[in-house]
Amino acid sequence: MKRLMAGVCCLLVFAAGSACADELKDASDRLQPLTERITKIGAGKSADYLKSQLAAAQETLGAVKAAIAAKNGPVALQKTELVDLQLTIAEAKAAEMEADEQLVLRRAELKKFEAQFDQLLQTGGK
Amino acid sequence: MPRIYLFVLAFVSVISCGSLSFAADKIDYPAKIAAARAGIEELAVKVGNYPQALAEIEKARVSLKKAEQSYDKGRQWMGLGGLKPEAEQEIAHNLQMVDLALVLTGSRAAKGRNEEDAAAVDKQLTLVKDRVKLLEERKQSGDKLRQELQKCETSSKELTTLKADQTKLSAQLEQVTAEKKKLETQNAVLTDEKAALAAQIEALKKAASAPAAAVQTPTPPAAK
Repeated sequence: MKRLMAGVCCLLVFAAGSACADELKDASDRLQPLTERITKIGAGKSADYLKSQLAAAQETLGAVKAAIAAKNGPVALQKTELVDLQLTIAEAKAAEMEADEQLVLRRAELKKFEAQFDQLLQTGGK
Repeated sequence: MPRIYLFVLAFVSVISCGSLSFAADKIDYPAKIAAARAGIEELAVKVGNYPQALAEIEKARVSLKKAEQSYDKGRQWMGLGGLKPEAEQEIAHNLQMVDLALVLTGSRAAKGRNEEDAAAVDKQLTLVKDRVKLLEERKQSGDKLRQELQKCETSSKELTTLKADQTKLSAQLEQVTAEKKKLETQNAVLTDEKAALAAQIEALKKAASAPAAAVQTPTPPAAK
């Protein structure tokens, strides 16, 4: 009975250790793509506008690295998830900004054509 | 027995006081969870019908659900002693995820609105461009017609001048024709006169030549 209990305990400890190791590996695997995303956003034309978001993502990425160093799998995964979302927000803000710029350009073009149209109407086709 | 009751009462009091003081130091997660839920529902109403934004709202709800589950699982026996540290960590993380998901929702909704506005502006732009094109075509066609009209006016003026010249020439022609007729008549009269004179001359010549012959061949006296 004691052996059985010891065996079960060992199994549970092994399973917990294995899960933690999986989380750490998963977090480590995601570090590189996240770093690349930060670099890519930082090199984009909206980088200045996204400075605070990028700084926050960098900080969280530091927390991921710290959690990996401390072999804290769950926290490493949580922080990875957080960086991912922070970067998604940064990308969304960049897309939003680009869409804003496009809209401003389109509106300017529309205004130009409306002015041309009004002028043509006023001259009465003369 | 009474000593046991006193002991239990003292134990429960100590635990309760400890728990209460502990709880006072701790973050009020139920309130935070309720606030996050209210935030999600408020934004869900405001956000509009943008699929990407609605998907982020769903993600925020999933994170909130995880925070609630972590809170339920992490509560220690009868709520005494507050939450387990790992549960607190999970709740804090999931609430942060909710906050960020709401920020993302706002951004997605703004992008959706931008796209709608851009589509409306594009539609208007196409319409105005078509109208401008039509007006420009009309303007070109008007310019062409004006040029044609100008040409016609020039031609008309030339025609009027030509008609006036023609009228003048016709009058001159009539005059010349009349004079010609008159001259022809005079010519005919003169021709007749000339013929008459010629006949007279001929007659005179004959008359003049007849006495001369009579002088050259005198008649015999016997014949007298």
